[in-house]
Order: sequence, then C-alpha cells, then structure tokens
Amino acid sequence: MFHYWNPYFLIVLYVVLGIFLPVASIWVIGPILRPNKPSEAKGSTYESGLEPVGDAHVRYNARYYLFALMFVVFDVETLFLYPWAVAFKKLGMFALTEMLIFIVLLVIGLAYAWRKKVLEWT
Amino acid sequence: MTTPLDMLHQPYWMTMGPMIVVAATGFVVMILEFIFRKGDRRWLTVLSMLGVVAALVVAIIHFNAKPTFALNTIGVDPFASVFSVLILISALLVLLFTLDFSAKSDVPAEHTYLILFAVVGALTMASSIDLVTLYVGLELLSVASYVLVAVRTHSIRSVEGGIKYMLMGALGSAVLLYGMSFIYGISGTTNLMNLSGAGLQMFSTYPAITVIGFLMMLIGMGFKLSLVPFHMWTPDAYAGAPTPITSFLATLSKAASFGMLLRMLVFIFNAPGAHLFYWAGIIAAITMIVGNFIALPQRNMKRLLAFSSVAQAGYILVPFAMFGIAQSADWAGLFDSISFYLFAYTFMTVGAFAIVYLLERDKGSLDSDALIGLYQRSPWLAVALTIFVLSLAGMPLTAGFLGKFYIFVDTMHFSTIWLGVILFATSVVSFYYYIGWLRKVYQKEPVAEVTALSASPIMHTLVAVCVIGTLALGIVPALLLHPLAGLPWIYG
Repeated sequence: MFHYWNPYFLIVLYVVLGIFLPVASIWVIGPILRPNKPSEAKGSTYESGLEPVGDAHVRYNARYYLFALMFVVFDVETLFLYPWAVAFKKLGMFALTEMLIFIVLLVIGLAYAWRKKVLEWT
Repeated sequence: MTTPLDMLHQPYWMTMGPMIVVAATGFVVMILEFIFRKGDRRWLTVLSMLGVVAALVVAIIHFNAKPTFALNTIGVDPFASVFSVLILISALLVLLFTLDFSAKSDVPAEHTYLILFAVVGALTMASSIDLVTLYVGLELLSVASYVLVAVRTHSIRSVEGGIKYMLMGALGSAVLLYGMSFIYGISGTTNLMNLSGAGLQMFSTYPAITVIGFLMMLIGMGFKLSLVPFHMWTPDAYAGAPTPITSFLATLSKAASFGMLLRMLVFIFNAPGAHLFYWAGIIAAITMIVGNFIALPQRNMKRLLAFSSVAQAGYILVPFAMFGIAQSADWAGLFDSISFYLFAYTFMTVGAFAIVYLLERDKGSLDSDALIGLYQRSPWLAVALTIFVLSLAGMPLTAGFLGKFYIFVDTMHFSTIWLGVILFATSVVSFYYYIGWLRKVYQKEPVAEVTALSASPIMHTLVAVCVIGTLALGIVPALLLHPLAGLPWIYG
C-alpha cells in the first residue's frame, strides 16, 4: 500500500509547498520584512536598463512571422538530419536518396521565398 | 517480424502512385510558376490537369489489384481506389473551373499548385491505414484549403473567411487528435490494422474512454465536414472564397473527409461499438434539419449553397449510423450508397457553383435576384442550372434522387426508418428554396433588351460535363454501381 500512495504524497507535498512559498513571500513575510520606499524610477517598466519608450501594445511587422517561419523550416531540417546521420550506416544508399529528396524540397521552398521577396526587408 | 529494411522494399508505386504523380506535378508547377512570371499563365493549370489525369490513369490501373501496403501506413484496397478516383475526378473538375478564373489578374497563381498539394493530402486520407498518416493527410489538405480560401488577399471577405476557416479547422484538428490520443492510449497502437483486431478488447476494458475517443473523432471530423453544430465557418468561408475554390471545399475536401471518417470509424469501432454509430445518426438528423431550415431565408446564392452542402453532408452521414447494425457482409451496400452519393454530389455541386460563378461575374452580386431572367438570357445555362438544382433537391431522373433513394432504402433495410423519414421530410423542405431559384430563373427579365450571359468555352465544357455526369448517374446508375458491385471494400 505504501508504495502506491508514496509518489502521490510527494506530489501533494510539492503542491502545498508551491502554493505556500509564493503566498508567504509575497503577501505575508515579504511585507513584514521589506522597507517601503516607493519612487518613480522603481515603478517604471524594466527594459534592460534603458528608458522605456511608448506602449507595449504595438503592431509587429508581419515580416517577423515570415522570417520565423523560414527559421522553423530549417530548424526542423537540422533536427531530422541528426537521427538520419546516426542511422546512416545501417540504411545506406536509400537514406541518402530520401534525405536528398527532403532537402531538395526544402530548397525549392527557399527558392520560392526568395523569388517572392520574402527575404528582403523593405 | 519485419525490419525497417524489409518494409522499405514494399511496393511504393503500387500504393502511392497517384500521390507521387500529383506531388511531383505540384512541385514542377511551383518551380515553373516562379521562373515564368510574365504573361498568361493558364498553361500552368493545364499542366496540373495533365498531372491529375496521369494520376487518375495510375489509380484506375491499380483499381482491381490485390490490396498492397507500404511502410505499414499506406495501403491500397478497393475502398482507397474508389475514393482516390473520386478525389481525382473532382480535382479535375475544380482545376477546369480555375482555368477560367486564372485569366483574372487579381488571383495569385499559387492556387494551382496549392490545389495539387491539397489533392495529395486528400489521397493520403483516402488510402492511409495509420491514424498519424491520416492526420498528416488531413492537415495537408486543411492548410492548403485555408490558404486557398484567403487567396484573394485584397478582398477582406476572402481573408475573413480564411481566418475563420483556419480557426475552426484548427479546433477540429485538436479535438480529432485528442480523440485519437485516447484510442492510442488504451490500445498502444495507431495502426488501423492492429486496432481493428483490438477493438473488442479495448471496448470491454475501457468502455468510457472508447466512447470519448469515438465521439471526439466524430466531432473533430464534424468540423471539417461542417456537420451541425460545427458548421458555423461554412457560410463565411464558402461565400468569401473565390467560387472555384468554394466548389473545391464543397466537393473534394468533403469527399476526402468522408473517406477518412469512414475508414477510421469502421476500422476501429466495427463490431464492439455497434451502438456508438447511433451517435452518427443523431448528428446526421440534426445536420439535415438545421442545414435545410437555415437555408430557407438565404438570399445570397453562395451562402445558400453552403447551407445546402451542410444538409447534403447530413444525408451522406446517414449510412454511417447503420454500420453498427449491419453485419459486415452487408457493409458493401452501405459503401455503395455513400460513394454513389459522393460521386453524384460532386457533379451537381460543381455545376451549380459554375453557374453561380458566371452570374456573380456578370452582375457583380451574389443576390439570388441575379437569377431573374436567366432562361431568356441563356436557355442552355438555365436548363443546366435547373438540372443541378433539381438533382440537389432530389428529383427523379437525376443523380441526386438515386443517391437519396439508395440511402433511404438502407435506412429501411436496417430498420432505422426514423432517419429515412427525416431525410425525406428535410428533402421536401429543401425543394422550397431550390424551387425559389427556379422560379426566378424562368421569370421574365424586367428590362426590355436581354443580353446573353457571357461564358467562356471552358465554362461551357465544365457545365456540360457536370450535366452529363448528373443525368448519366441519374438515368443509368449501373454506370457507377456496376464497377462498385461486389468490391471487397476493406481488408481488416
């Protein structure tokens, strides 16, 4: 019986600690211990030490998404190349052809993006 | 135990021939599209059609071949062959339709190969025997369709329809995947061949989870098939998309989704989940009733056809309810009536959209008043529209009547007559709005001088092909039923 509830007990313990610690530090012990000296600089948004400018609710240029998309495509390609390289010796010629087809398809995608001027910022 | 190396030598060409041909054509057209950027580029669409014809030839050659499987994920059995042929025929009709619309400059040429990639996805959905591959095929079809709906980037309605379709489609995919994950969780396999054997045990051990899995898969596909109450995206996407693309959504996408739903549900839940298929009947009933009644007040022609296609999806879903009751020996009849209706539906829907497209271009509006005086202007197109509309409503001597008749006979045969009664009653309701169209078509035009509705030879060919298809299947159903008869549909 013990080894059944033991893992659940640990989870319950984590949940209790996870609720207790932030609640205690933010609302109970924190306010008692810390000195209260508010100033304007402390209240401003943290932006890596720079003066915050403007509103956070701005529209991003849609081109960021296109670049992100291109990045993800080639990121996934790299991801595929790792297991392929590991299994290459066992699979031989077949794997080489498969991977060549895969890369050629991606290159067509890149060429398409290039022709459609996705890679130019202006 | 087969090793990966053994599987690699399985016959690819037998199983994936049509897919390989269509995908290769898609890439060739894509490269040619960005190399040749000037002038009239309709030859790209002609090239795509040649590719689809080649794939159709390959699919028909393999039609009666021994069932073959490659990589344990793609298989070709008669079921896959019939649906592949259906998908390729509707792809051919849709491409012929876009051939006319490619002449207009405001539509980017991307739609040509997007349709081809969507066809590859649709073929995968028809012939895959693994839940993961089926899902990949569905996503390939869906993602291409989202872009196709929004292809007119300057039209706000087109983009709005695309976004709505994408959001609802993503929701549907999520629900479908969640349902699949339940089935995978209790059976430990995504392969439909293994699942069909494990069904009984799965059901007796975890009945609740199996029911949840079934319902979620049905609902997830319900979003794609625009079954009520998951049909909200349909009118906006159908009305916003360019009309050839609308006909693509209504026929090709729907046929492939029905194929996938049929294969998943019948493979996984065949014997043990008999009463589960009753849910499909309930959804079919709601879809038929709501689809037909919402269509009544519609004045926009494309929205009306959208609701009509919702209702048609309900009719096609009716035989699904019988899979639980019927013995597997009787399934062939159900497969027959589903595929017959899908073939009939393809011809009449593409034809109706073709004429709506001509009117939309002529009058610049989609209001059904554009139909007024059509008989005076172009008698031939008016008669064609009459045939399509009567077939959609289910008038004898048309394909639509026989499709409904076979489904009705099925409901009587398997004693689910209440579904047959709803099918009959809602068809009568549908006559009201279809006849409303016909009244306008044969009404006299108020203005004195009448001009013929302009239509290119391409559109005349398309309409003629659809008329021939609708009438031929309606008068000589043996044309289709004879090759279908006695097919050993599924190997499970």
